[in-house]
Amino acid sequence: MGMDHRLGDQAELYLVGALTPAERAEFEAHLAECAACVAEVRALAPAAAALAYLAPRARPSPAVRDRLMAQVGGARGSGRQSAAWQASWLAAAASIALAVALGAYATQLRGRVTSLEAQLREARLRADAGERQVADARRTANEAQSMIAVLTAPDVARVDLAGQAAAPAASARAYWSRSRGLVVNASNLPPLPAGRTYQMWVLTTQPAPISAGLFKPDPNGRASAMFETPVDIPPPTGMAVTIEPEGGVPAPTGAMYLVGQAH
Amino acid sequence: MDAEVGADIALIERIVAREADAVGELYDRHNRLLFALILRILRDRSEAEEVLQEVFVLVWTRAETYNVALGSPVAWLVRIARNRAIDRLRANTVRLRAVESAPAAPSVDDPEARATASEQQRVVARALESLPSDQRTLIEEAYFLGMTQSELADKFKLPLGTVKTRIRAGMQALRQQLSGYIFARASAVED
Repeated sequence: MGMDHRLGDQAELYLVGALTPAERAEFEAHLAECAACVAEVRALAPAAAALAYLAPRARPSPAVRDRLMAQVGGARGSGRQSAAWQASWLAAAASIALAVALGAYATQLRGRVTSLEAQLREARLRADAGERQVADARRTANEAQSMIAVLTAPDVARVDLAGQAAAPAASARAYWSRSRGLVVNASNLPPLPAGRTYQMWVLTTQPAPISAGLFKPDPNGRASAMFETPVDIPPPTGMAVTIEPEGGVPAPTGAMYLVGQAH
Repeated sequence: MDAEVGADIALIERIVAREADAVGELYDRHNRLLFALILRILRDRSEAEEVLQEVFVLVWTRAETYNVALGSPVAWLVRIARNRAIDRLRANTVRLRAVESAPAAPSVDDPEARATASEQQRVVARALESLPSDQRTLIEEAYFLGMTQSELADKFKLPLGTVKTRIRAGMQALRQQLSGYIFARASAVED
């Protein structure tokens, strides 16, 4: 809503009729978008209307009503002329009370709409955030469940990995179950260069290491990952972690960051 | 909401719903006030009657443009009537006649009218008379003679800003004065 109040000094001029038709039209268009001017016109409208009572009393000929009704195509008949003047005055008098009441009501409604809109926006944001949180929680729970499944597997084997020359402070512990997969928890991992990823390898009696999967550490250098490994791989002799190009590679190309032997 | 204003709003709603009878009813309620105003501006009965008819035809065709946020139906009708009358006046040579013959104050000028001047006329007249004359004159000349702000500036040899300031001040004062009285009236009527 544009609160351009540039015609804010026009309300009185508009109501006393001191505007040219063009200025009047411009101000009326402005009223469509300026709540402040609407309020001003409403506040002053009763006084402007009251000025009409200064005109000496006069009564139009009954023919005017007949012509009017012929033009709008309605019924004829002269109605309640006698009470008209008094009714007009009462209506104008009441219009001040009405204006105040309507003004207050409109302001109240506007305020209420604004506040409801804000609440709705907030509720939507909360709902979105809530959905995201639920999804996150579900994922985390699933991961945790898988990890627990690995950790509690009857065939679980533990491998401790130690930091190598490139990252002497790093360490990790891996749990592997042939039936349930591989879980690794690492800490003190160096941050990854752009376009790089950590890749986990399972070392076996075969010469070629088998890729278990990719992971990235959090800003604190910690990582926790869960991989599924083929059930038919030869018994692991150890685990290793290298840094590789994003997306991983079929065989390790980078320096070893972590290495550990299976017990 | 006051019953009279509520009744007017109900009529406008019926007019929007294309009930021609409602135009007649609205006319019956307000034709005299509007006619008096139009006649005061145009000073010609047959022209004033034409304009009065135009006003209600406009109401018939444009009732949906009535905006309750801008005031009561009566205030709207008075605004339409005044604007139509002033537009006619400006378009007419009648204008010269009116400007020349009009007294400075929109007085209750014939004895019969004076005798029957209603209480409400006296109240509004008193409120207007209480304004400083430089404010009052500008409001009267604009309201009843259709002088625009620039015409007023020219006529009274005032900067445009001064014309605006005086009209603003005068209307605000009028609003104050009339609201006190009319509130009392309205509540007395409700009792």
